[in-house]
Amino acid sequence: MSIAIETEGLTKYYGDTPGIVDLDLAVRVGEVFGFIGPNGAGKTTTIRLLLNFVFPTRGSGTVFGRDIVGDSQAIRRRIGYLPGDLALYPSMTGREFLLFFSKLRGIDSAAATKQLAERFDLDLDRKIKEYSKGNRQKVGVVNAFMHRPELLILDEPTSGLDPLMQQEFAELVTEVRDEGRTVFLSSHYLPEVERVADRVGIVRRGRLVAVDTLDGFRAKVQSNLSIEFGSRVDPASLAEIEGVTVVEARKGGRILRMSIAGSQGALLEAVAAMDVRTITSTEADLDDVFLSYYGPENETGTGG
Amino acid sequence: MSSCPTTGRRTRPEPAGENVNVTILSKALSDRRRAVIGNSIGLVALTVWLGVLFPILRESVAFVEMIERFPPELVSVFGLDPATFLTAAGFLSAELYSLFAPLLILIFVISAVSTEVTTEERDGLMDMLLSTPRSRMEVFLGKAGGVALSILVLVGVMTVALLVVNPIFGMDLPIMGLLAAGASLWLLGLLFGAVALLIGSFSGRPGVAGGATGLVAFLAWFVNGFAGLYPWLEGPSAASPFTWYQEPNPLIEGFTSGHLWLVATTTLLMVAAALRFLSRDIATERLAMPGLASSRILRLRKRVRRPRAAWLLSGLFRKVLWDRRRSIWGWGGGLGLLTLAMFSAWPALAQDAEALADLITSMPPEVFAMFGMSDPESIVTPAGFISSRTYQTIGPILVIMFAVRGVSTSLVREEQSGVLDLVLANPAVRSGVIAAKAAGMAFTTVLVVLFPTAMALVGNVAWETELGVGRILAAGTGLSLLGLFFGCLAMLIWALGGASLPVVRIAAILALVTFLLNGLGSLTDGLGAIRLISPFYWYFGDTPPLAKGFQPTYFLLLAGTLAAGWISVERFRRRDLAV
Repeated sequence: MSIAIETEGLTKYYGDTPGIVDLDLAVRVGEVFGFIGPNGAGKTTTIRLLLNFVFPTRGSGTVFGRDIVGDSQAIRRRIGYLPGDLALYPSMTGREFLLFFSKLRGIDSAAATKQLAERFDLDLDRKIKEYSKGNRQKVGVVNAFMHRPELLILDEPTSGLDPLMQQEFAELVTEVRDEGRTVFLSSHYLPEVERVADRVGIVRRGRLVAVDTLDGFRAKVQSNLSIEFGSRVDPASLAEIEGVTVVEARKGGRILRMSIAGSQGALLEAVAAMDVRTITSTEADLDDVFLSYYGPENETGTGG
Repeated sequence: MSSCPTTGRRTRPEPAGENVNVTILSKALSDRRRAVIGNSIGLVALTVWLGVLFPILRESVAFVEMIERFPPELVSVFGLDPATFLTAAGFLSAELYSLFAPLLILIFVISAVSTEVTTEERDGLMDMLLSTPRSRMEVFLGKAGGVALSILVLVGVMTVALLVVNPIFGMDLPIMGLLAAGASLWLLGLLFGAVALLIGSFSGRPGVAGGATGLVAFLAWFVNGFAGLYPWLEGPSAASPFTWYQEPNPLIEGFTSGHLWLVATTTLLMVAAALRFLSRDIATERLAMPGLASSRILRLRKRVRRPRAAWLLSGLFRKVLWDRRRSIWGWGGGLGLLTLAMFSAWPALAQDAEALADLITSMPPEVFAMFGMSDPESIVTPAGFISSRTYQTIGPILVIMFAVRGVSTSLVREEQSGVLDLVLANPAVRSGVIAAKAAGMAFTTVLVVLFPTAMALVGNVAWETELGVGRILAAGTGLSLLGLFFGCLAMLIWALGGASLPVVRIAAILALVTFLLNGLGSLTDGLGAIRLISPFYWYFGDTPPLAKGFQPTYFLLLAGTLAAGWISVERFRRRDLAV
């Protein structure tokens, strides 16, 4: 499987402030890669490095095997970009704006524009300054997709879109993936990513802390069990079981709270022989996994 | 898995590498169309007016006699060259090419570069452009080319008007001279456009790029214009673009080495700007309130969370001061320098005061009226001479522009960008918010006027002009009030019409019209009564501000200011925000 985006030790500092540090990333052709992290983690900096808006402090990167600095123009020919902080020419109509950008790309995208605008219920003949935030975002979406690029770089693409449009957008991304094109989707909002991504990278404080498939992350989901026994039970006897961590023992060891990674079968077999009064289960969801990577406090910093 | 081919149909062959992109160029050109049309109309009107004036001047016998005794220092101070003033070339150079046309072109080009390049970068539009497969060089050249062409249109219209006026009013200028002078003006515009691009490609902040370019242009103009008075300025003057621009006079000499210097310097500056633009990070500091670190926004909000509106209001007031701190130094410093220059020019002029007085009596009053002087004889007194630039023409223009821009940045643009929504979402009353911002505008305007006032106090002692401290303070008060009046007028236009109106432009037109009304009103009885409603009449009327103390008419300015301010606040309390 060929690689769409690859970076090696890609680093950007703004003065002394880290934007992204030592990023090693590989996004495969034909996948939807979710890039998530809290505000200021370095997501936008990474994207702006890929597009050569800013130059790496050190390290390197390639898109479709071409250098992000030296071959930027050739790379951008194959990219559709939707910035997180979308800027449009306010005095143009939506149609004029899209025509202007089609011309810059040297293509005729009238048909694609019309089709996308209908799909997202966007009136192209009003001035951009008269659009609501959602409609402006739709212009940004059409602009990113209209030339059918091989790689879509989308920064918080559904911000401002209503749930119906978010659904439509997710379908669009899935179609693009099914056609074998690649999507790099950055967001701090998990559901946006969860809906469409094949693999997810988590970035925090300028560093990539985990990459896995969504199923891989789900496998890491820990469930929490709280078991009340009729008599005292030695916590160590249960902690031996694989995947089980005893978090807390209460009432003289009669209530044990534990977290279990993976299957609960072995644990249930072990306790079946004991004097069990009640078992209470609380399922942790994917959110908690991501939050655990995000760290205890909300970070703020440079990038975005 | 195979990648999907692009299905969009290509309309033309792949544009090759580093060339000027026509799409970007024509957009930049079309963005400027309104400014080009407006400025063209102004330039054509000025040209025709000068055409009408020229035969009148030349046929005045007294004028011809007096011009021979013209003190040579006037070359520097008014751009008049006694040796050539009676020729069409000398006349046009003095009245059009030495100040008005370059001033207009420079304001045009600085604002064009600022909106096309630095402002687009700040707003994130440069990101959008550069996300397309266009190289940075194409974007850079496209935008620069669009601005260059729009100046060419402007200069071209003016030159065509001159070519038409030339035979009609018997100016008999060589066509090649007019073309060369037009080319020279265009090149001067290009040069300062390149300066703005270079500074902009280093700082990336519109205010800094515009302000610094304006300062460079002012210094260049100053060393060129005043080299005749101060020998030590002759060295630097040779390196001033204004020297290359008009010496030797292209109207007479045609194309000269000055053109080459302008072309060469512009090319160098453009290469430097392009190299920098190609190799730097784009838009690294984009914030909700540009120029304000995000921590300051949080601090502002934290204050507001407590239900103490006074904190917010003093915060807003202080923010206006903070935002304009550089502008205050730039505009005030320029005015202060100008004041000192006027004082230092006085002794030379005083030697020939008598000849000058004769000359002025012989000239048609229209000439002076157009420059706002209804009492030209006063020019031979220090009060009149120093007032003529510091308090009657350049001074008021700068102070009014400063005040109006203050309203534009702190109210109009903040409403457009939605920042005002954020501010008003806090528990502060609307009238308090607008009053705090108006107070900031007023206070900064007074600060700017303090510069020339201080310089006048110093100059008064140094050059023994015996103006009297009271009169200097009174003139400063009048100048501040005039600025405040137009600032509040701009606020009124904004409060009544909303943020979509071009407030700065409307205020500038009103200022120009009332300025001319005061000057020309002194000539014709018909306009005499209408003249009374001009704030410029209340401010200086027929007497130079430095020649009089506090005037009762200053209260009219004050009353007008307060009334405009009060109506603005009242209206703003009730109107829809940002629609």
